[in-house]
Amino acid sequence: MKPEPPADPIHLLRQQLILAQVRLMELEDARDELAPRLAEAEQFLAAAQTLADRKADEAAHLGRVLADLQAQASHLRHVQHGTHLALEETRARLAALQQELGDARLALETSRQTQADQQLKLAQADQALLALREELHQAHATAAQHATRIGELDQERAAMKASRSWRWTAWLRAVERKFGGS
Amino acid sequence: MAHPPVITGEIEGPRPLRAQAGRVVLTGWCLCDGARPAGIRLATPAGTLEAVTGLPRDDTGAPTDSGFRVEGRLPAGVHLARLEVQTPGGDWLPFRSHAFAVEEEPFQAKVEAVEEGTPVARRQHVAGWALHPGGEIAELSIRYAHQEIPCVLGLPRADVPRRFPHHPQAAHCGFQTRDILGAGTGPLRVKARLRDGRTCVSRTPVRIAVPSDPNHPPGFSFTDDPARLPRLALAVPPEATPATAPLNLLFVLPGSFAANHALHVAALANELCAQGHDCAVAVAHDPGTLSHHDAPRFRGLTHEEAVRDPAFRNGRGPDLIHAWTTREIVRRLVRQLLDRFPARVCVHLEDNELLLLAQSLHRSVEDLAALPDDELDALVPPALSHPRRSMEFLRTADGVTVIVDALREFVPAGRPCHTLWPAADARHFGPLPLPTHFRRLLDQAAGTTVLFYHGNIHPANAAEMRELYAAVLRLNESGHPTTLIRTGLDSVDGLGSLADRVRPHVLSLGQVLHHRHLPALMSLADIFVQPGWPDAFNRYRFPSKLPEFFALGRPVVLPRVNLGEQLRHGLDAYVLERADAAGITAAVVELRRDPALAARLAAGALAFARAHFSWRRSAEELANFYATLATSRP
Repeated sequence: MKPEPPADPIHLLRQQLILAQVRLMELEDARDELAPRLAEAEQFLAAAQTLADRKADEAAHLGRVLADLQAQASHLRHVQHGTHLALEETRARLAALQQELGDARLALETSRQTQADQQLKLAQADQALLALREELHQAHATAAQHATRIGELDQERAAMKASRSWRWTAWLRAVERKFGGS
Repeated sequence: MAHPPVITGEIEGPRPLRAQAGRVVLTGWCLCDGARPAGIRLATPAGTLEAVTGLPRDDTGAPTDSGFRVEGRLPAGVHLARLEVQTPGGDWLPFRSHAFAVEEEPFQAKVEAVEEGTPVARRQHVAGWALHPGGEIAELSIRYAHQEIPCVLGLPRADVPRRFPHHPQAAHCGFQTRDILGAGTGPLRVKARLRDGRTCVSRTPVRIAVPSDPNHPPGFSFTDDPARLPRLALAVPPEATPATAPLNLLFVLPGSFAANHALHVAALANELCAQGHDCAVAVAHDPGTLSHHDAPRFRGLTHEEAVRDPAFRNGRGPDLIHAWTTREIVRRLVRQLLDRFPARVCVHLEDNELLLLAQSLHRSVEDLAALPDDELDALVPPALSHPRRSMEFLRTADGVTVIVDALREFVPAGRPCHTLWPAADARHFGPLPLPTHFRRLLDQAAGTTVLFYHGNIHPANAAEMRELYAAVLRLNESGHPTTLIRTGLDSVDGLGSLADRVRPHVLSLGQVLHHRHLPALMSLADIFVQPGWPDAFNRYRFPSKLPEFFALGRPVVLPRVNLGEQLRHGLDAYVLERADAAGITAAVVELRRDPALAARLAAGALAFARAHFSWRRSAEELANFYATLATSRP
């Protein structure tokens, strides 16, 4: 239940005089509360502006970095094109080389086959050679035996020719050769 | 490839950089490859301002003409502004980027046909022009002293459009006051209300000093200092002793923060917070009333929030719940809280709860005691205490606090109990001088006695408040002019036929929203009176206004009950066996006749307040009491 306003104007004035004081105190309180809040808002604004400035600087820096990167990307695209062409050329050369390599491999294979055949023939030749060497060796041995026999025979012939009989019959043989035929 | 130029320099001026009233002023210095740049400009999306360069500088250690200044206007708003420097090759390079706040151009008014510097003393019309660059004016008035005179708007002006060529009102922004100046002294302001609802004021250099008019006779002073009520110059209180084991404390209140006991809880919680405890206060309704309190250090919660999450800093629940009274709404909430949190419980008693219930239900205590449980359950409202459940609540509490020793009668045997006296908020309540200037304006007769009472009238105190009003009437009728200044609301009309007769002597101010504003009003009082007598209501209460009465340093008249039993009559206060109409009248007459006694009681009141009323001491004692409580629950 709120009090009714006094009917007497003077009484009302007295009441309002006091209530005006309450209003003044409320306004003073509001002022005192708002003053630090205003100062705080100013600080926030200053901090926000500093932050915004920093972000603006960062954005400008990022813009520059972006431009640099875009230039680098353009350069790289150019380099990539050249690299692509070189790569294609290299690939073509590689294909040709691979073809050559295939041919070489085939030739090598053929050569290897030939070589194997040759090696087989060589082995056979070696076998034949060994047999021939054996034969030669035997022939040498036979020859040596023959030579020895020849020597023996030569000695026997020499001895025979040196014998008195041989010499005493020389005439006979000369007659033989002369008249007897060849 | 040529090397880019090196730009150095700085923008000066306090941050935030701001164009006040729409006007940009920016100064600084700048060098381009060590020389004065060809040009400097401030570029924004809203426009570009060229700088004046080559201003002398002697502080940069570089060429002395490196200074620059940008001046101009930009549209209101926040702009991303680039300060750019022109190179010798003609290119513009950015030098600094700033967020630049441009305020709206202010409301402008010009008063004409009066001589600036010479106060206007003649009663005349005042004319001029008024324009708001950012809006359309709907109403205009001039103000000075206590006067406000409406103006006619829309008079033609040929000169203003030259300055504001794009403003639609510029050609018709002339004004003239509807009436001639009335009496009053003070600087002239022009106040406008815009069509978009905004209000703005323009201060002018014109001063009005009209000495009189038909409503203000010659000699009426407009220059006296206005009468003001005193306010306490706050002293910085000493730091509280830090708690060795800080607690999570949850206070549970039955009402809102606007209730008297909320003042007690708020003061205690603030002090406990100052000690390092974490305090939350849960109210049953209107949590917005927390704004009535000055700088609370605790958290305000609703009952529902307290159950859901009391939000203590360490993430845990309450260590201790202090239930403020045994009222059902509090008891039920505490029961819910205990289902969630293993907290200790302390219950505070500050009234004869059974008597309050009986008065509210218009039954006797004995009748209520005889009712069966189910009937009682149906009768007892949430805002009052249940005779049986409240006793059970007290029996299961870990501790009980009481506002006066008499309430220990309700505390079950064996329960730890602590008496917790209230105090006055030392930030606002203290000895204040009588504002004699203000009293001269207020008093209807010389020698008037002013009594002050802040508090509501409710069924429990209606009878004794009637005695106070009757005393005021008696005093006036017996030739002792007396005014009772009252704050608070009345829930009952206890005055009856007395009301009309006493009304001329009572200034009812209604509810003063902020308790901190009361001391200034209380300073108007010569004497404080607490009416009442020893009975079942007063025996178990401690009127919370008493510590505030004592803190102001005025004689206090009160009955010999509750606090009155602790006081020495004639030294600490004027203690009456019964503070009824007759007793109060006699006490006031005696105090007015005996200034020495009044002075002695004023000093005694102050001394008693200093010795016995301190929220800091009460909070320290309460914290010590909490520390002694061991939980009785598993």
